[in-house]
Amino acid sequence: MIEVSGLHKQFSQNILYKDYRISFTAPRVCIEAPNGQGKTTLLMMLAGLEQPQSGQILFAGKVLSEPYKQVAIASDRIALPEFLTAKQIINLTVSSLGCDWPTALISGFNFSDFLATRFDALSSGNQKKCQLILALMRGAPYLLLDEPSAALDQASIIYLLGLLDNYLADKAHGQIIITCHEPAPFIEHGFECVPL
Amino acid sequence: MSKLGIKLEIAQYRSFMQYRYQAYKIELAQLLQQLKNFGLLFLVVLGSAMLGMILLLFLGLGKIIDSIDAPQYGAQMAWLYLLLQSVMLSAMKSAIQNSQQRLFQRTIVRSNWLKLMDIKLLLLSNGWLLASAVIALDLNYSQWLRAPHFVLFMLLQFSLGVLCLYKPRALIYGLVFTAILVLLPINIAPLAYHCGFIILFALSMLLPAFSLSDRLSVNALFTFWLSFFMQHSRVLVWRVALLLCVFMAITTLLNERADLEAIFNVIAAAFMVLFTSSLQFDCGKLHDKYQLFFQANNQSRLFFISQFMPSCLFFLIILSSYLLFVAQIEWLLLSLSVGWSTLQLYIAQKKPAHYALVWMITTGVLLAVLT
Repeated sequence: MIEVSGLHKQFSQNILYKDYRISFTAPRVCIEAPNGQGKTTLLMMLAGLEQPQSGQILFAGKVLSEPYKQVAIASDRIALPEFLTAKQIINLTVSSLGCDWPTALISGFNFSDFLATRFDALSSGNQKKCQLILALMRGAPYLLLDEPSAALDQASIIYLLGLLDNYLADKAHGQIIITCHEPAPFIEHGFECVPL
Repeated sequence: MSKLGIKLEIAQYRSFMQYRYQAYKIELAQLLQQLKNFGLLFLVVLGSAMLGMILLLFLGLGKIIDSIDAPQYGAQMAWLYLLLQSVMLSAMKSAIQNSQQRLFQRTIVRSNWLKLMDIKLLLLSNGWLLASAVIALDLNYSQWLRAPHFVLFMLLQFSLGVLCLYKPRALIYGLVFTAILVLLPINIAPLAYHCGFIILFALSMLLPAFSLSDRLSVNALFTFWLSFFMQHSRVLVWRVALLLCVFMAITTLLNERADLEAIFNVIAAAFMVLFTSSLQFDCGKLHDKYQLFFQANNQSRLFFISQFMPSCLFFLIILSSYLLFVAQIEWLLLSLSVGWSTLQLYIAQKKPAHYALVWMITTGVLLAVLT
């Protein structure tokens, strides 16, 4: 379970969260809110990549000292090196984190033909696939996906849903949290909608 | 085509020309704004030295024209001019072509109009070629007989401008091959050097695309930075080009006034520190852009430290080159330069607005104390 309490986050004069608290109890959660309400910012704070002004985030009752080990995130907010090819970006992450080369994910997303393409030359759908591969290959117990189906083709959405169905099978306390403006397919696959 | 049709066509072309001139002016203004952001004080200093730089430009052209007695030196000077011109035009390329609206332009006019306007704006932008044209108009018949290679040099200036717009890869290959040619210990006439330049640039156009960086196995921060610099070589090329100018100027000055070596060394050190430590502005931008990616990969701290390495390494390479090929620097200035470079790196990171001020004050203090 992920618990957020007393969260305060503002960008200059714009207050996004003020003494905000929420608990994500379901194993699969889909956060729903209109644009600009802070869904992505919340995911970034959960992943430890953005710091709130105050507040606490607990994962199974504990504050994570090294979130990168247990939380994986895919978001457009994390700029990937656009001058590298997709293969080089994946390779860099594999080397940094010591994970295995994600052969199954690459073939599952039909991404093999695009490995040698520079990131900035990839279509938005393929850029999304690259982000998803980087997050999914870590096998982290907490998986945060920001708009995972945006720009994806139908076959890839089906493949992604299949992956998410089985993702938590070997992760007892794991959770998947996504943000999505078209949650219907995810709800069909057991995601619980939570408004911000 | 009827008279009315021709009139309409001319009116369309004139509208398109006005649009391109306007886009060119706006983009150039933005470029200058970026320079202002880099440091208003630099503009003040460089602005006051503008007359001197224009005189130097013509002096260098004189060396290229009158190179019968020292053809290799003349060829090296010509190569440096072509390099500097290429650096300048590469920076202005987007303004010349109105690259951002290129597809839009294709939807409104035929492609030969596009190219015609490109060439017009290229000629307008190429101050190096204009300076050569001014000199060429001033040469008399007997001078032309002594410098027939200058026609080829001007042809190269124009052609390299075109290459810069349409075949930048060939331009890079050509500059590398011609650099080798001017460094070879051979004794050939200036005309032969310039013919060699033309042949090498022409051959470069036939070479296939070759990207080393795509084949690089990026698995650590070192290869990440290496790949960045391979694909954004312009951030190094313009600095190396200007440092080459400084080195050549110092070499010439040392030949004339060896007694002022201490002053020349301080000036050289100042420019080495300036052009190498300012690389931190580029590296810092890259760090800010990708820090979240590396943070997610648990390499946040390493990535932060690594952003200073390119500037440090660049400084050491440039300093070693100066010591090897130009002049010796005394230990005190050498040690101070290393400290100064570190200070400029710190200022570039923490107080970028004060970067130019600190550089100028330090240069002044060192000139006063050490000379």
